Amino acid sequence: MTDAPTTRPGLSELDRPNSYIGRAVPRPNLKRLMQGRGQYVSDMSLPRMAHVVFLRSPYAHARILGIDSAEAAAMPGVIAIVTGPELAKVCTPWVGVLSHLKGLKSAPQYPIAVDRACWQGEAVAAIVATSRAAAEDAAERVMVDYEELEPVADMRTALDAATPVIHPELGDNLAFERNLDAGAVDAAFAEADHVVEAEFVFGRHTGVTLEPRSILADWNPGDERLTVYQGTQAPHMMQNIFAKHLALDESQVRVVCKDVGGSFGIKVHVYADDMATAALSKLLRRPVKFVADRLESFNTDIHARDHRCKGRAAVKADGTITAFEIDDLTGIGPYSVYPRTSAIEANQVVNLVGGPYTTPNYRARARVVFQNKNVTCQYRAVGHPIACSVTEGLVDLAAAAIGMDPADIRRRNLIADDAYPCASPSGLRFEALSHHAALDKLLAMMDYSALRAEQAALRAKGIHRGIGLASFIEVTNPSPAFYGVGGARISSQDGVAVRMDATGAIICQTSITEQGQGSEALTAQIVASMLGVPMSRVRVTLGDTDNTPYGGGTWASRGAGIGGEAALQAGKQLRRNILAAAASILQADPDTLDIRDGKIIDAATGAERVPLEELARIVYYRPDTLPPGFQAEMMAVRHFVPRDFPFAFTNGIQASWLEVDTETGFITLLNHWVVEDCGTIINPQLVDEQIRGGVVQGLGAALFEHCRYDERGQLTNATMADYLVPMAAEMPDIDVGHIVSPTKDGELGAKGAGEAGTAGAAACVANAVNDALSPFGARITEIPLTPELILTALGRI
Amino acid sequence: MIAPTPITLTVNGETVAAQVEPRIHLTDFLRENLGLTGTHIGCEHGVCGACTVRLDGEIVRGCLVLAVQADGKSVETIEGLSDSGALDELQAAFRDRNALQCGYCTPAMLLTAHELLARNPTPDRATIREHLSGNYCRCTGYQAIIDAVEIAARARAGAKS
Amino acid sequence: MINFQYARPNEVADAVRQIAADPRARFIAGGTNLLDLMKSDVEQPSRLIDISRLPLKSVEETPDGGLRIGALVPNTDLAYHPLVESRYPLLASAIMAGASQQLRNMASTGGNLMQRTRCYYFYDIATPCNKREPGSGCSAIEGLNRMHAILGTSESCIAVYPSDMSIALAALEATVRVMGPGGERTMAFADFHRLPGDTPERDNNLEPNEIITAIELPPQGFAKNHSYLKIRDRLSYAFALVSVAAALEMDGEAVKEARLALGGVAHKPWRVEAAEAALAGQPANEASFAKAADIVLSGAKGFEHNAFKIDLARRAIIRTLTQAANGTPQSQSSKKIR
Repeated sequence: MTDAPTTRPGLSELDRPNSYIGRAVPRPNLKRLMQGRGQYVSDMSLPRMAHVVFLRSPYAHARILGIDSAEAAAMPGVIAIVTGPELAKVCTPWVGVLSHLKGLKSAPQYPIAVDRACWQGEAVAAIVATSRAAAEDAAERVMVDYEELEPVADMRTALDAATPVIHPELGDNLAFERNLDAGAVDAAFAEADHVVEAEFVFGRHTGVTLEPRSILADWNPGDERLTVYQGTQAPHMMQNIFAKHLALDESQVRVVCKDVGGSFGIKVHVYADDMATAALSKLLRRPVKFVADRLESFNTDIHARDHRCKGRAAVKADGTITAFEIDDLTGIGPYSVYPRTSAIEANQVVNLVGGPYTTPNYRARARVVFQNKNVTCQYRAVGHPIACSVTEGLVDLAAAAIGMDPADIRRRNLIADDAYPCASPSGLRFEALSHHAALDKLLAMMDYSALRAEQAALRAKGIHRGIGLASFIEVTNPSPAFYGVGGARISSQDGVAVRMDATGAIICQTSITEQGQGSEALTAQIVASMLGVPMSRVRVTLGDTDNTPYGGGTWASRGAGIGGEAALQAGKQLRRNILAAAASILQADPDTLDIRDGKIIDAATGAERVPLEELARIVYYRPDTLPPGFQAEMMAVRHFVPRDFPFAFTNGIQASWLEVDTETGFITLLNHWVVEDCGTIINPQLVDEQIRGGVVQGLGAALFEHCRYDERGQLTNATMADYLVPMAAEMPDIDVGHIVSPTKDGELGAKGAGEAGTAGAAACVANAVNDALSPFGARITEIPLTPELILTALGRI
Repeated sequence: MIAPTPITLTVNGETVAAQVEPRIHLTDFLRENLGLTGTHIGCEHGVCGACTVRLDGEIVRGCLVLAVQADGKSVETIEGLSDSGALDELQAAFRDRNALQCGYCTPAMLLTAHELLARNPTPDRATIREHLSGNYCRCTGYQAIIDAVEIAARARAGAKS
Repeated sequence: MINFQYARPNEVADAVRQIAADPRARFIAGGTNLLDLMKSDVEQPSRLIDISRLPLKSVEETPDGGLRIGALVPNTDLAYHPLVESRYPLLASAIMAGASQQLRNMASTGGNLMQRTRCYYFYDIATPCNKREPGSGCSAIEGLNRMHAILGTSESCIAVYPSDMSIALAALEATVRVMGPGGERTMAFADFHRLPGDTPERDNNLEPNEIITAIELPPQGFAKNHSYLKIRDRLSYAFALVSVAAALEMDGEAVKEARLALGGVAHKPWRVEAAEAALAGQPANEASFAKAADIVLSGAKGFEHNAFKIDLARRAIIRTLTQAANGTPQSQSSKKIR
């Protein structure tokens, strides 16, 4: 562990003239995006391409009695109108369960509802036409006869005997339950000096990717191949799933992912619309394109959170927290989402509560219930914001109960920096974390004591500001423990192929994908560093199952740590291969040679021996001049998967400084600080921007974001004007600091950074609001923190 | 049946004549008829700002302007403004500051920032934030964008002095 | 969106003739609200009559020292107009509190008056709504009504009128000039918008064959003591939970004349002259302001999710009047409400 790095730590092979690791080099792919020359799926068109529009259920729960499409089918431009039973002949249904989530159940889900719609927005018919406008016009003339059924809207009553069971064949509305009991929880509570408790409530959120979900499926009956252009985070996973449900071999499916307009976990799932679009292409033997509009995005992009979690903590007078206990309830919609399932978030909550602390006694129950709302699944920082808000909310309550400063109680209970490796009561294994170093650094960055003094001075003038802290851990670099052990064909390893072409250009293919995080940049940085070539010489290809090694893609903060390690190893191997060829040509010992700035040099003197382009010329055009028996291998492929730990946990702490207007309930965010530890930092600018972007998504959750359903299961704010996400004016600047504890699971040492910001932001804002309101004895454990919540807590309405 | 309406307009300096259905909005026209896919669609309700283009020199939501309403007018898009060099300082600053991730909001963000700097060459951060508050970015958290606009403003000021 | 005919008259009289000839036609100017409604199928006009190029884009001083604002003056131009900035800063501030730069560049002055409600149920054509479909019922009264009205509601409708600009215009006692087949007439701003009553489908008293030509402001602009405060969930581009336009003429420490209008609370800009009269001659202090607030809000009625607005409005009124009296109007870019 070291403090904020100015150069990257450790690895001597990286201390080279072309070492880009640890440097804030600009991403190579920005220019085309800034000029409007990116290629998002929504931009694409193909010859004979048709457009599909889905007619969707206006009801949360309704039986489909009949569909009359005769008039619509006769309209100009209409190619086909396809219903659920018709499409079910082309595409088999799926069930979103994983075997390691014991007892998880769900019902078969079809690409288009077959006889019953189970949420407002579920597709009931597909209208395919030569233009989207023609399809939309025809959709208005498709008549569906519905019998409205009683919806299950409130997760709190979903398990009541009087509540209808959404899938009678499953017996009840309980999708999954997990119980955990570690240590001596009852004894800890009995012996506590104080017990604090609260119910924490989290609104339903959704990702609001600026480019809606988009897919263009092209079944070519001549090639007998399906090419799917899709904005997805996991091309190989999708390849497998399209093949499996459309009765194709995987080799018959190619998934291509070019530019993606935001994902955040939204675009890593199997959507009925996507399966339907691919099935329609196969059925109609032509390219079919679907681009969701914004209303469809709100009604069918996965939602997340929507938890009610009761929490308790036991604390001793000296500040030692001796036990946590939670009881979490979440509603996931009518199906568990395929193939990652909708039980993972609750499972993560159970795993993560109390994670930063030494507290040995922990009991948890999580229940996951079906309801007639849109489905929920994994969205950025899965489960982390809930676990963090519950834990950090309880820690602050404990601090208040014993009159201890929030920073001090954390210092007392955070796992010591020299205690690793160790494990949590829920069984998480930690390799090396740095909670105390992060806390110390954070307090210094924000000048905690000065801020406390300022707070007190302002309070005397009737200005109510608050400081909130939130320590967190983040799951990154997942091994097969996440999905693979549960039987899902989701790869947790990644591969990188690197080759040198005949001009000395470096071509790199990686199985991780790019949605703006910087996957392309970090791959080029690592490969260029390993080879000793300028970054400008490296071109990276990703997002194409035909043209990259097989791998997992980019999700769960895995791209840099896993794909980066594969790039490092591939780069190293190609370097060895190049040096072997150079040694052969130069009749030298390869150990005396090196590569620097694209040239073979004498390692001892730095004298140039041969440029890589000349080496490449000889290897490719005059191999006859090489010694007999020597075959140059100018391509290297390496794969990587973490083996030592199931997950590479990162850690960090965030702080918020805000002002609450106690008359209007209006919150002004003033400052936000983050100190995080993602191990080796490949590109500090990319890491910082991942953190900032993640924080702001968490701030949206804290203040605004909420999918508001009414009691009939109708989503009432399915527009961008009504579902509010953060915009420029109200967001604070965010200071980011780093502690570096590289993982030893791999040579690179990098862990993930994509979700740390989202994990802790809402928790520290809620704690800051409660800190600001403490003179009034008010406490809020619900987000979003709307003006009426604040005013209600203050007793002012 | 509604007959298409003839329109003639200037797009990035080129005269374009077309027949369009009155209901086609300007962004669809630019993307589908002219292949100018740098102008993006995020919500089609005038909220997200991704469809921002310049119409007779002022930024507007392309999704809330009908193509027929642009008849006789001048439209500039990210493609034209990039080629003309009008956005050079902003694009350089966005690149250096990594002020974009997925890039979907970026063309519109650049046009909006460009208008601000034309109106106010030395805006403070609050002014930049306010002016850009009609453009969603879901990736960056905005700070890098605000930084980049500040840097570009300084670069422009420096180039003039 | 359904298809429709498109026409672009060059003269006001021609526009009036065209709208009179087709009861299902609609005028389009900036289109920022109408096109949104058409995309949701809430509005399904047979014909759009594009008035955006009619010669109604000037801002001129009137002989009495007031200001005449052409109905097609874009919001941005109006907010940044030197005469508005100097003499009617309350109006400039209210405009800048709304929407976004791109929308303000397109949106017209007259169109702003014609904005329709943001009620979710009005937008969702799958649900009953008396405003959209008279007689179908009101989904909001028993539904999610957090953003809805607390004043002037009826059993038919509890929608709110979402404009910011109009709240300032109401406080400034603007008049609306309209042209119809029979010629031109004027309406006091207070008479332009309606309460829902049992005809919530009618937002205002403009006849279907009339066009707004101009807004006129009287000479008194309250440039010294004014404030527009908008309380909303999000600072950037969000509709008001409650907004207050306050304009005062001070006489030392006392209020000589007061104007007060509320947005986000009713089917029209909410102005109670008795509250303004109660402030006249009173010291500019919290007690006076609280009394005025109580008068404004007498009769306010909350629903399941929006009752908080009553107290919120009361405090917002006091805050805004305080800002106005102190000569410290609410900034529309600063993040803090002070």
